[in-house]
Formats: sequence, structure tokens, C-alpha cells
Amino acid sequence: MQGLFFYLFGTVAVISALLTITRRDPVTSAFWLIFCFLNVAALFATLSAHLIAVLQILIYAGAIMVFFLFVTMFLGKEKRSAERPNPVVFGVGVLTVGAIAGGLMRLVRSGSHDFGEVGPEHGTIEAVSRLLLSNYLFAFELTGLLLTVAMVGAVLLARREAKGARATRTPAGAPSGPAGVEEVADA
Amino acid sequence: MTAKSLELLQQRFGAELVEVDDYLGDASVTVRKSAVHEVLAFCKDEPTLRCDLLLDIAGVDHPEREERFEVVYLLRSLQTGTRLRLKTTVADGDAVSTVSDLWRSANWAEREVYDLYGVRFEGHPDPRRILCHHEFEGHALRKDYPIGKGQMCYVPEALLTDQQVEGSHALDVESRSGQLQNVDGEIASDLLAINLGPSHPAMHGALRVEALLDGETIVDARSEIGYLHRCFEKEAEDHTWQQIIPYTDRLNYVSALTNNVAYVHAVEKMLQLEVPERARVIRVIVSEMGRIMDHLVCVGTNLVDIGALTNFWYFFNAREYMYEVVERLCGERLTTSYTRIGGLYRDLYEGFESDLRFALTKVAEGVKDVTGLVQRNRIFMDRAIGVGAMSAEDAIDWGWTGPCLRSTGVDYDVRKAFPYLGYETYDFDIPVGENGDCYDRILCRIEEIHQSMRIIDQALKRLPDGPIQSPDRRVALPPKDEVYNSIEGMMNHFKLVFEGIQVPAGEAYGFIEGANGELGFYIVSDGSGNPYRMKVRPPCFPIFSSFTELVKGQMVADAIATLGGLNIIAGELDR
Amino acid sequence: MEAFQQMLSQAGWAQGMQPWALSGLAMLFAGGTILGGVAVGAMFFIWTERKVAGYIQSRYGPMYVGHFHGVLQSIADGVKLLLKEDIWPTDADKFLFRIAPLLVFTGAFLSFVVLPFGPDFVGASLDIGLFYAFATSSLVVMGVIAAGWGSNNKWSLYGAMRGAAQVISYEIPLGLAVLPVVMSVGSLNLGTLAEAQRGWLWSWHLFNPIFFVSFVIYLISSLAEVNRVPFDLPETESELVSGYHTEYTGMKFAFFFLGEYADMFVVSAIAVSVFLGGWYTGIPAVDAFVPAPLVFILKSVFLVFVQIWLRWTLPRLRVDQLMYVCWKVFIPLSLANLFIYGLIRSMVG
Repeated sequence: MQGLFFYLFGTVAVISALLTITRRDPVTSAFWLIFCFLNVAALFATLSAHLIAVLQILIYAGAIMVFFLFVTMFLGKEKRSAERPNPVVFGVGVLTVGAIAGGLMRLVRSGSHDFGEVGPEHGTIEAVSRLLLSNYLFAFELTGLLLTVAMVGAVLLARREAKGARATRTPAGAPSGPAGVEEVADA
Repeated sequence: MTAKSLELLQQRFGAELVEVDDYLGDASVTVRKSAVHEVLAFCKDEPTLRCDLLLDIAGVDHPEREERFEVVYLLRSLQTGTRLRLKTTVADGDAVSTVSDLWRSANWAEREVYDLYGVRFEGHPDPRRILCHHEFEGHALRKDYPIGKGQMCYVPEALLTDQQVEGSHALDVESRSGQLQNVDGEIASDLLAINLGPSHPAMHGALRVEALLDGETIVDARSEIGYLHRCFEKEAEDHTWQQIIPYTDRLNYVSALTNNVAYVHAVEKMLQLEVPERARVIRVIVSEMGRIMDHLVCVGTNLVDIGALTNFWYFFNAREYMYEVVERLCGERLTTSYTRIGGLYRDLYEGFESDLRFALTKVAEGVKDVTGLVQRNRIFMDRAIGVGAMSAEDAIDWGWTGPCLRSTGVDYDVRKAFPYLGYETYDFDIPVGENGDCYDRILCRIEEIHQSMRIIDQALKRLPDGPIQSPDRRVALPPKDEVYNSIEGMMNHFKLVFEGIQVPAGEAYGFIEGANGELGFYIVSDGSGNPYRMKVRPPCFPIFSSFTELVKGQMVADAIATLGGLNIIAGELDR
Repeated sequence: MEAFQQMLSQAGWAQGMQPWALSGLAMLFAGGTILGGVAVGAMFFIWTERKVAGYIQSRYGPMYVGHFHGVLQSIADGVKLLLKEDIWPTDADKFLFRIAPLLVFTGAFLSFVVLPFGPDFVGASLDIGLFYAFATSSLVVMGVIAAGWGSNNKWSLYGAMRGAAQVISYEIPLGLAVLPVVMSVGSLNLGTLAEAQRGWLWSWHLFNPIFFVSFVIYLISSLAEVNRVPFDLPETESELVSGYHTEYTGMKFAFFFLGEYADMFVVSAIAVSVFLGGWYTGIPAVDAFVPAPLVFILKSVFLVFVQIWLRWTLPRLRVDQLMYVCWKVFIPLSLANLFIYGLIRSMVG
């Protein structure tokens, strides 16, 4: 049963990942990427890592990809690239992927890392939170701070730009433009 | 007032005036073409005249004359009460200097004269056609344009990139080139051109606005009208005076009764005809009914545009009760054709008063419900206050009248300023707003419903007995026994039926307070059975001309809310 | 699902089956039950919406199909939509245009798995059920975006962009609002959250002042999450024609419709299990003989009714006002609420 699901979701994830990089239309690619994320989430779920699975859907498939799509839409239809890939870039890409894959394989084969069995409790929300708030507290808080800084910066950037662009046109007292939307997109 | 202003003009521009006239109390001055701009500027700025409102510009075609076109400017002063008609003559192919720099309402009015007569206006910022399609050939209201000649036009006008027309600058791409255009000259992709209409749920009737959006903010917009243009004015020239009444139903189809009253009011002014008191009171009743129904529709649909659908039903249910009364009264719901020159189509039916009073209680209930739902509703206030706001000066400059003008704080109402049908004897108030925004417009209209109900109540109470049709033989058919028994009676009958009412030659501007503002008919008669020229002054034409300016810098949702509050009725806008 | 598996394993004809086949069959049954329930439920809500709208607007709504107050109207509409021509806009993105309605419906449907209709009536009693429900409902926005982009229509695109911005924004106050309750119960399992409200009426989370603030924030944000008035900006028929589903006809349109109503039920059901005492009636003695799913469903239907009621009462917000309410009112408020609750708890112990 476990194995069946692993191969099912694994295969679909790989196929949709391939489709992601081969589709020309960025929006279609993005949707295949979302599909890929969903399958990875399913794989996490089969490993009893329910929290990670849900986070994968909520954050990656849900939030981040929405912003990807949002930006793609803002850029407009005409800007969808239809060029053939540059052979050099393509070659470098293939080599990089090959190197990473090879390295991973060696790592797994060598057995130098302990991929020991973990209990079903390992991936629960309690276990993860305990780790985050004890062993990794500093890193966790630092990440939070970093993200806050990034968010404030993004909002500031959007603000200034919006003001500069609109000051000449919006009559005083008129409702401000889609600044709200932009802020969200950047945040 | 009339004599004084004419005297003043004569003193100042003695040599430039060709003709001065005050037929039927309408001060009318004919000016040499070269002095038009100067005289109009004087009329606008002279403290004793202060004609701050340019109501309309009409063209008249006299093919037999050397300078065949007359351009007629209808001026009004809200401060001094001056009414002035300024005319000039222009030959085919000649140009008049534009006055769109004096009044912004002149912009569209001049475009209309250009469209229908081919008179060019020198220095006009946007000399395009307006009612007819841009592919249309010829000028439809010229006397030599055959009335039955149709043209098939297919290609829609590209409003925002339209630069073929010389001098067109509404988009003004040049001045914002860095922002709007990229290197290839195409519009930069962060701005999106979008077509609102002609088939769009918020474009009541068939209007088209092409807007350039930055996100959801409207950077620039241009509008196109004429989708419902059926050349009412040309049709009028081909019909007898009485036959035109059904056409007036289709002008503002939301308050057809008021339109009927307005038209016969203008014609009776030319005939110098007194209408029996009973007919006058009934006309007051029906025109106030028209006003109530118009306001119900306008406010109801405006609230739908803001997303509050339920209010629409509350108003339309009430309106349905009103329509039942209208149907029993006229036999029709929408196309009432209730008035006749010199009187009415028929008297009130038995039980009219109780029916109407019942319908009005329903209206009052609906208004109460809606006011309760929206007036202090936080979301509604956020959506409506400050949206589409217009200052009083700008509103007058754009030629606004009616509830839209009153919402900016100007208490101009024809019923008070130039009373007709005995409105001076009724006790009612003129509600005014403060900010001229969407919120004030809605509340003004709602309050006007209350005031109209007051007027109807007084009118019902004072309704005298008596005839509803003037016995004047110029307009009324003689009684049957006279037709059968005397040759004069028979001749009279024959003439009226076959040739129609003969309106004496001359011209006049008759106007009343329509539901949406001043509804005027400028009529030129040559003494025959048909009008020589009939120009409607629809209240929403100048109002809609300001729409694109009003929504610039606003968001799409605001534009929709604004449009609903302006109450643009395509039937009278496009005629 | 476990219940189905048990039933199956006792059934005679399934005796010889492999365990994996058994659980597969159980999954199929569970999924089928939910799917049927969702479809029928959504149809019921569509009918309810029309009747409620009718009565609010002093008219009748559907009256003829099914003889009694048009109860079968939704089925008739469903059949009509099935038989309608499937129209594709020229230059539509075929792939996205096709999957969009499926994504919307799937997103709504997946959430049903964790809804605790009763102590034993739950598709999958996940530890992180609440989280899971939020995650799957965020898939709905994917469908909205796919529809908006795939239709190749500017109005649809505007609807999609509004939808994306709105749903992503309102997920934050939605999540933050329920956190105090989660802190109090110490679980994200919807069943456990409901279980914690056993007893008399006042043990419902709704009647705790802090949780009441949470409830209000949740209720309003959930309206935005499912694109209902006053937050129906992605479809605003007076501005965007019909927003992201302008170009859809027939069964594809029906899927959007079903998805929307299923989603309404999901957010209501979550509110019921987190704040309104789940399947408990509030009177312990009554709980014993009233079927739990009935109570749960009735409460959820009531909340759906509230949503319908609001829709026909309020005007809608403008885009910037919508964002203002979310980012400048609800998020600070829910954070403050969370903080205050944390403070109280740490002080009380």
C-alpha cells in the first residue's frame, strides 16, 4: 500500500516536474509546478509528515504560486516568452541537474548518513513545534525576523513607487489606487 | 430682465448684432459670425448677465439662404435669471469659433452640431462625430439629407488610439510618452485598455466607455454614445405636431409622462395657448409621477451597481404599483403618450386618486426600507461618499442641471426658478447636497421623491372639475354636431385631421424640470403643419459629457457607481 | 473511512479480498459518499439562496419545479446546464480553461474529508485537520486564477487577480483568528476542537469573550474566502460582467457554482466545529438522543443562511477597501487577540 502510493505520487511528481520545464506558456508551467507540489505533499503525507504536507500545499502550492501567477499576469500576455532555449544555458542546466542527482545518489548509496527509521510521531505538529521552539529556536526566530524585514522592505518599495507614479494624476482626496493590491503582491 | 439684457448687448456690440428679438419673451440676438466668441464671453462674464450655464447649441438648416446654417446658443444664468438665445449664421463649409474654452458643456454640443449639420468649430479640441457612426457620410439633419436614407457602418471606433482625426488630443499620448508607450510605440503593458460597454451590465442603455487602466485605477477614458441614436429630431421634421408625442415617450423612457408634458408645454408656448386648469393640475400630477418613477429606477439601479441588489427590488416593487396606475390611466406602461397639445389624451379614470395614493404609500414604504438599508450603512457610505464628486462651479460649467446639479449645492430647479403649470402655487422644497458625490446624488433623489409626493398630494386635493382639453379651435377638434351641421365646423375638423395643428412661424424654447434636469425643446416653426426644426435639450447629454473627466483617477468600481448616479438614459442621450 | 473499512471487512462478499483492495474500496465508498453529499448539498444551498433572496426581496423565488416551492429547481437547472452547449472562447488557453472548474470544485470537495459531522462521522480524523482545510480551500484560488487567465478575457483576468489578492490576504486573519482556540484546546483536529465544547451551552467557544472576537473575525474573513458579498469582488456582476467565470457555460459553469456553495458549507462547518460546539446541542441531556450529524449540519446550514442573508443585505466593498479591512483591521486585531489570549493564559497558568 505504502509502496504503491510512493510510486504513484513519485511518478506523477516527476512527470509534472518535467512538464513544468518543458511547457512554453509560463502560466501552464506554473500550474504543472503546483501539481508537482501537490504530489510531493502527498508523498510527505505517506511518510506521516502531515504538517509538512499541509505546509507544502498551503504555502507553496497555495500562496507562493499564486504570487508567481499574479506577477506573470501583471507582466501581460505579450511578454510570454516563446524563444527556444539557449543551447549553452540548456547544457549548463543539464550538467548541474546531473551533478546534483549524482551527488545525492552517492550520498544515499554510501550510507554515511543515518537514514534511520522514525516513528509515526516524528512528523506530527507537536514534534515539529517542539524542535522548532527548543533546538532550533534561534534559527526559527532569526528566520521570522528576516522575513519581517523583507516584508517591510517590500511594502516600503511598493509604497514609494506608488506615490511617485500617482501623485501627478490622483486628485487630492480621491481614493488611492491599487496600492493595496500591490502591497499584498509584494508582501 | 429680457429687455435689460438686450439693451446691454446692443450698447456694447451694436454693430455686431444683426437682429434682436424677444418673441414670446425669449430674448434672442443674432450676431455676426466673427463676433460670436466675443459676445458669448461677454455674456458669460458681464456681472449683470452672468450666463454661467450654456444649456445647448442647436443647428438649424435653411438651404435657401446664402449662409444656410444657423447656430443657436441657449444661455442661462443661475444667478441673475437671464435667459438668452444667441444666434449666428454660417455658410456651408465655413467655421465658427468654438466656445468650448468658455463652457465645457460646449464641447459635446458643438460636436453634435458638427455631426448633424457639418458646421465646423474652429479650435474645437475634439472635432469628431458624436451621435452618428464615425463612418457615416453626410450630415443627417441637413434638409437635403433624405429622411429614409440609411447607411450601414460596421467598424467600431477605436477610442483610445484614435489619432486620425486632426487635433484629437483626449488621450494625449505625447505628454505621457515615458509612461504610456514603450520603444515600439505600443501602449505599455502595465496599462490596460478596457471596453466598458456598449454591452456591459453597468452601462444602462448602450453606452461605451473605453478606459485605460493602471491596475484598477482609470488613467484615461473616452466615451462614445449614439448606439441608440434614431434621429428623433429628423423624424420630428417629418411628422405633424401631434404625431410627435409618441416619439417623446421614447426619449426618456423611464419617465415618459414628464417628456410628454415637456413637449406639449413647448408647443403650447409657441401657440400661446392656455390649457384648462384641470389639465394643468393633472399634468403636474403625472409629471411628478414620472419624476418619482425615474428616481426609483435611478437610485435602485445605482445601488445595484454598488452591489446592494435587494434595494432594487424594494424600489421596483413600488414602481410596479405606480405603473399599474399609469397603465390604467394611459393604457400603456412605458409609452404613455398621455398629453395632447392643448390638453390631455383623456381624463383621469374613476378611482385614480385612491389608486395613486395607495401606490404612493407603497413608494413611501420602499423608500423607507431602502433608506434604512443604505443611508447609514458603513459600506455604502465608504463606497459613495467622495466618489464621483463634482464642485458646483464645475457642474455648472459642464452644463449639469437637475438632481445632479443640486447635489453639488446649487438650488436651481426650473419649477422654482421659472415656474410653469402653476408650480409656484405648490408648497415644496428643493433638496440640495453638499459635495456633489454619489452619496449626495442618491440622497437628493430620495428626498425629491418625498417632495414629489407632497406636490401630488396638494394637486390631488385641489384638482378642479372641468374640461381637460382647451376649446381653442386651432388645436381641438370641434364637437360632432358642429362638424355635421356647419361648414365651418367641418372645415375645421378636416383641416385639423389632414394638415395637423398649424403652429405660427417663429421659434421658442420651452423647458420644464424633467426628472434628471432641465428638459427643453427648442422649436423652429415655419408655420406649416410640421416643425421646421426641433431640438431636444436632454438633461443627461451634458452630464454624460463630463463622465470621462469625472472618473479619471478613480477606480473602475467608482466609475460604475458614478455612472449609475448620473442617471444616463440612452434614449434621450442619443435621441 | 475506518468505518467503511470495518463494514466491508465484515461483509461476506469481501472476505477473500486483499487488505489493500479493501482499503481502496473503502476509500472509493467514502469519497463517493462525500461527493454525493457535496453535490446534493450544494444544490440544496442554491435553492435556499434563491428562496431566501426571494423572501428578502419580497418576491417568491422558484415556485414551480417540484410542486413544493420549486424544491427541484436546482436539479432542473443542473439538467439544463448539462445539456447546454459547451462554448470555448477563441484563443482560450484550452488546458487552463478546462481544469479551472475542476480545481475550484476539488478544492472545496477535499475539505469535506476532515469535517467532523459527529464523533464517528468524519472522513479522516487528521491531527492537522483545521490546517488541512485551510490548505485545500486555498486551492480554490488556483481554479479562479486558471479560469481568469485561461478565458483570455480582460474582465475575467481582473476577476482572477482580485480573487488571488483577496483569498491570499484573507487566509491570514482566517488562520490567526482560530489560533486562540487552538491554543486553548491544544489540537488542530477539528473533532477534538468540537469535543472540547461538550456540555452546556456556555462551554461553546463562542461564549468566551476572546474567542468571540475570533469568531467575528473568522466569520467575516470566511465571507471573503468564499467570495461572497460584501466581498464578491472577483465576480462583481456590475463591474466585471461576471468576473472570472464570465466565459463559462454549461457544466463548467455548474462546477464553479457547486464549488462556491460547497465552499460556503465548508467554512460554516469549520466555524461550527471550532466555535459553535460542533455536534453538541448545548444541553447534555438532549445530546444523548439527537443524532450528532443532524445537529452539526443544522448549525452549518444556519451559518450558510447567515451568509446568504448578508449577501442580500449589504453592498459590496471596493478593492482597496477590501484590502484595507484585511491588512489594517483584521490582521492587527487578530494578532492582538492572539497576544492577549497568550498573555492571559501564561498569567493564569
